[in-house]
Amino acid sequence: MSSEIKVDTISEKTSANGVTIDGVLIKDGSINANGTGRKNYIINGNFDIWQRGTSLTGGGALNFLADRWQFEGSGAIYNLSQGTFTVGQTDVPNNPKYYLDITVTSADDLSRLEQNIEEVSTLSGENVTVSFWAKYTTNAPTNFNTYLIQKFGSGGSADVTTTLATGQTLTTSWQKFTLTTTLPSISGKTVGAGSSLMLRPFWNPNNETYDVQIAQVQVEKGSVATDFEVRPIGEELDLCQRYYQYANTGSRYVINGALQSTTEFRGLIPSTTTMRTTPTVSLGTSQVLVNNGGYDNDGVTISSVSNTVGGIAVTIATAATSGSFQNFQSASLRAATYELDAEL
Amino acid sequence: MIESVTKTYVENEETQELEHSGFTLLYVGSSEKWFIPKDEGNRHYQEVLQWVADGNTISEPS
Repeated sequence: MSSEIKVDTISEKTSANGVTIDGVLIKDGSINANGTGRKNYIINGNFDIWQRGTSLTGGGALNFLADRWQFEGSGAIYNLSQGTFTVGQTDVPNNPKYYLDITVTSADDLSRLEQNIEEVSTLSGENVTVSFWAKYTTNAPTNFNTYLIQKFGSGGSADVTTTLATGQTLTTSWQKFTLTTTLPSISGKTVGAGSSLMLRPFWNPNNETYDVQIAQVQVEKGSVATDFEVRPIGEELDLCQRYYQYANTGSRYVINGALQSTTEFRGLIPSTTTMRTTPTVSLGTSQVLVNNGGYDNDGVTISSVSNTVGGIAVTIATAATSGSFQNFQSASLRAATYELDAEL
Repeated sequence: MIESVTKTYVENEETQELEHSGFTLLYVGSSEKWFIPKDEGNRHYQEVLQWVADGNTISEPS
């Protein structure tokens, strides 16, 4: 027998708890339901995508390893690597496959993990909840802080930093961290190109060596941390490739095209999606121009690129007969690579 | 850390004039050449601008 209730208003009984209807939480004007998509503003929060490789040793400057995640070591020397969860483990829910493993081997008090979410208008003036899992293995950081930073881009207003937590500590067991804040409005600010909302989930303010493992990072609207949003791998890769693409063509060939003049070759580099902005391009260290059977590495200089279909013009130093070159090749068989970088 | 930055030019297909299109960048300790577009939204272009503001000079191609 079916039944029906007709009311004008349903309000929360306990302050700040919201109202739950068959597992769907309605709170602060937003709906948080397990399984609903597009709630996590972080890309590759599950550390499934590793286009750049699975390990890196860096020092000082900012480096990327897991897609979309940057680690700034300042003066520190550090190792970043892909950690693998044991199949069937239940310490971290939703059966994640990977986590990011960070080991700082020389001390610095500015080392930090960050991700830029495109556009500083993201979640401006809204309640925001950040959640992630973390632990250490052998060398604990004394403590760490978590921030959201509104960055206004080239020529824009000064950064606005919101502190979510300071003095947090890790154990050797996986632990979920849940932090809520209200971001300032960007009303009245000047916004330039390349603006972002930066999540800095982990900043070690102490001048020390340490290791930390981090998994399932989520930034969502509202003041409740819901289950981590697991997206299909293909969808996550598409999201990542708006910012970075790496390809090994699996052959010797890099770019197909033709000579525009005796000194300029024009061709297309494949791009799987329209990128955020005009990308930086590298053809790797071994790319060479086929010049009547010879190779000329020094003469290959890219001179322009678009951010849509990878239209690319390459200037060569060696004069040639128009039409005599058809492609660029790698000196090594099946090893031609290229990188397109439009990260924030 | 940036080792050198060199201007790049591309021929305008209509006018056949060479136009400044971006930069070739080399980092210290690496022979990998990066093409940097003249695009304010590109983070490497911002890095080049900061490098110049720090007193460094962009080269013309030889």
